[in-house]
Amino acid sequence: MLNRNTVGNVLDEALSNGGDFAEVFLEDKITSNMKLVEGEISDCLSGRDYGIGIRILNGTNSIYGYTNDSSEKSLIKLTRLLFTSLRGKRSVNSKDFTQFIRSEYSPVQIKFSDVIKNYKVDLLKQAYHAAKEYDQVISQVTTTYMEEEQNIFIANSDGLWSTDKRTRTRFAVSSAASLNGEIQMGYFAPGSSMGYEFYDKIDLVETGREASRIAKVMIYADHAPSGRMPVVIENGFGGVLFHEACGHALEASFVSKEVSAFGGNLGKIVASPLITAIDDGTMSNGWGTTNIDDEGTPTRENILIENGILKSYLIDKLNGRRMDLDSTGSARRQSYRFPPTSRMNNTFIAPGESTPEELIKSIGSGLYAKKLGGGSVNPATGDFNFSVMEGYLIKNGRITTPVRGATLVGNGIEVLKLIDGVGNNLKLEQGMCGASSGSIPVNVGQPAIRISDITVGGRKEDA
Amino acid sequence: MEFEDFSNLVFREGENKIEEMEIFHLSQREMQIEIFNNQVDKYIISDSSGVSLRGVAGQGMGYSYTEKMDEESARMIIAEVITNGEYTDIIEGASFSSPSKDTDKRYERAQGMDELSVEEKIEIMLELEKVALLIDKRVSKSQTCSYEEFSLKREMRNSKGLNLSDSSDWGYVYLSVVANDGDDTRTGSTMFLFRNPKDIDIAKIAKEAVKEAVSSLGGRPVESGKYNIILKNNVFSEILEGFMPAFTGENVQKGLSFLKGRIGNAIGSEILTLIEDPFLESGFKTCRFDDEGFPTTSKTIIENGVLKDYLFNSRAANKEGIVSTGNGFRDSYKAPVGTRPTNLMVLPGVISRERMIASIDKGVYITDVVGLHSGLNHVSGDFSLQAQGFLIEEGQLKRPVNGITISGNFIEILSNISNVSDDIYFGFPGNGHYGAPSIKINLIDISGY
Repeated sequence: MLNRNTVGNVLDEALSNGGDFAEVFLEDKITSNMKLVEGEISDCLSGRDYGIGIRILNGTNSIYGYTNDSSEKSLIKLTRLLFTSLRGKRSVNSKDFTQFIRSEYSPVQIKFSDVIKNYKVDLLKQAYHAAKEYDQVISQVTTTYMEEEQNIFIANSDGLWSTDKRTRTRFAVSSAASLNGEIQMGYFAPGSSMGYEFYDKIDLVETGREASRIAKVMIYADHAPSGRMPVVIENGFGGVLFHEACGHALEASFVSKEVSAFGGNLGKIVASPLITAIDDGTMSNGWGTTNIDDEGTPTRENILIENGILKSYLIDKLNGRRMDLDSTGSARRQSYRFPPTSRMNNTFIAPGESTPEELIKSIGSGLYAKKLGGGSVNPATGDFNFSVMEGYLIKNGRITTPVRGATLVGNGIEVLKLIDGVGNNLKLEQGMCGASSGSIPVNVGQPAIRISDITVGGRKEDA
Repeated sequence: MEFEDFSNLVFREGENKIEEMEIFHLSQREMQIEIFNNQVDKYIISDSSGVSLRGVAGQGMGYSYTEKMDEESARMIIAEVITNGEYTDIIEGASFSSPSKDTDKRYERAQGMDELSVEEKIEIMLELEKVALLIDKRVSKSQTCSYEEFSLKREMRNSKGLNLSDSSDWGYVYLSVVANDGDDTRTGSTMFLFRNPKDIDIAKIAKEAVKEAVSSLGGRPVESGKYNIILKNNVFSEILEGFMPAFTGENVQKGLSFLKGRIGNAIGSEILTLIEDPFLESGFKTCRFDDEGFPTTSKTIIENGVLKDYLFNSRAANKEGIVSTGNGFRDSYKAPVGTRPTNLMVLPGVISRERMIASIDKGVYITDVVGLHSGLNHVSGDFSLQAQGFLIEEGQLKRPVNGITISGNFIEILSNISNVSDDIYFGFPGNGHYGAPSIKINLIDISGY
């Protein structure tokens, strides 16, 4: 870690060169990954990330630099390189730093370093065998184990002095099913901001079988239909719909530049009255939870949409300046290599009244998307897409044959108004979200929802 | 600590503990400028590096990395390589390359980056945004107007006496603008690669981005069905990149590729030839050796529609009993060695894109696809992608099309190619540098209304 004098001197240098706000971010992260293929450990990799980012704001202009060399000399040199033309007046007294006492939303019981690798190898093998032996059509299984402990330190010219520790682990199973020269995949990857005790809480046999179950269903599936139709999206990773269709466009990085399809709509109706959506950075042991955000602001629960009315954006300090609004504790970054910006943490649609069966029963002909894959969005237009990993046709109110290869496309503004049923079975699942400040862990979630009309991109003309 | 001292320390400390080892260093200097609303919105500079050590300990190959180069970290990565090696089961692991005359020639790039000062580069970018916003009154805002330049240096040493280094300098400008006509909002973008910032063609970049945004205003779906389509060069090169993992020996061996067992078979139309050229003068992934120190090699992957070869890193090559094809590359020093091509290109044809469009009675010209990371499956070969473009009627572009998907299987696309144009385009250098011409494909599924 850095001492107070060094940090004070670096911040002073930053302000004397024309900034009105300066920040030092240090990251020291230990990671370890293991991968098992064909029953054997094929890759075993561990290491240490270490670096420092310095950010200077001047009004709404931002400059950022990073390096792996944390000596005072190197940091002062970097700061001088960042800004040479302007002169400012403020200075920082290193005695003014106040240690910020943070909450602890993700307590850790068993540190990864206290568990020998043999046990972790056993986890990989347990899930592998469960997945491989699920069915004869399962031709290949890959299981991976990931752990990381990210220690960060943030100080800024407002006197903030804060640290956070983020302990995370994730376990992924990827199963391939083969039949008549065709291959289909199934994937399941639970994760948490937790220590090794996570593996007492999840069932790895079930995790392995789940990935293989999807692969098996898909190898026997027919092509998905094409055209517009009603769709029921199941709970859990289905929440990627809201994440892409709306969440990104609520990020201040787009709203503040007036390049968001949802800009200028606070207090207005933007969704069906059935929709309440929340982003909560404080969820206990949540995959997207942090105690403070990557600017040192405490995270919190933000209600984004309440009964269809837009209540809040997701805001970081810099974009807050542009919008004249306070940070919502939503500044995030992958590492010291990225300046922070507004991002999501754990985002979900709140549960409604309907049972999932009621939602399906009401559809004559449509699609049931049980598991979604990833997706993306253009926040300026609101156009989004995401893939259906496991889908079924709905005929006369009943789930029938499985279908593969569907992509759902639509527009965020339109789709939120077309949600005409919200289930009572909220569930969150884990994902990685990529954007301008890098790839970060997020939870997405929702109960089952029904969309009255959306474009399904398959390969058959009749549903 | 500098890399030379650090690597000496690691070799000295590791000598008696690790049988064979290789140390890999990647350093990167980077500068990024982002303009918004006639101001420097973001300015980023960095000087960073990392070291990866791999070595044979116990029965397998262990990996470790660090971004901090000091004595403590040297001891840490040695200890981690030993532990990780002991837990690795794969005995037929990667092999280390011996020094070779093929890799001896250094590829030092011309240092054009510093011919302009930071202030001059900022001026260019301010000018670019200004010019773009003056072209059409429906375009009043930029979404992204950014400049980024890199200076990358690779260094590697192994216990067989290999000692290699090279460097590469390049940059790109990316402009995305927002068009609005009161009813509809659309975006248009251009990416421009350069080795010397003096080559940046402001007028061309601005014009292309604005044209794309404005011409797509009012786009709407077409009726679902099968269409003859033209895939624009940039779209074909992105789809090619998406399916590239299927061409690697690694995935074929694991049974995770739809191209398994297809060497010598026709997987595409006779007019399709795909080559890898690591020495291409204009390529941005040009190099003499891969990240394992093996010489890179020119090869034909698809010849007149027939699949000729896969790409191998040393681990996959050892399993096959052959020598690495020089395609062992890492995403970064933090990642194990994967497989990717250097510069890959589909050989162009002779017909112009315009004439190819004119040959279609009813069809769709696809100018952009989105969602490649989720809507494309390189294991099965299937894809379903959000797309936009133009409806073609009687050889003419009739109206913009949006809100559709194109779906199919990669082999089906390659087999249905009926013409290849002369307009080869190289995309953003990512997992290789991919060049492709526009192609005409018969009967592809489109989902619309």
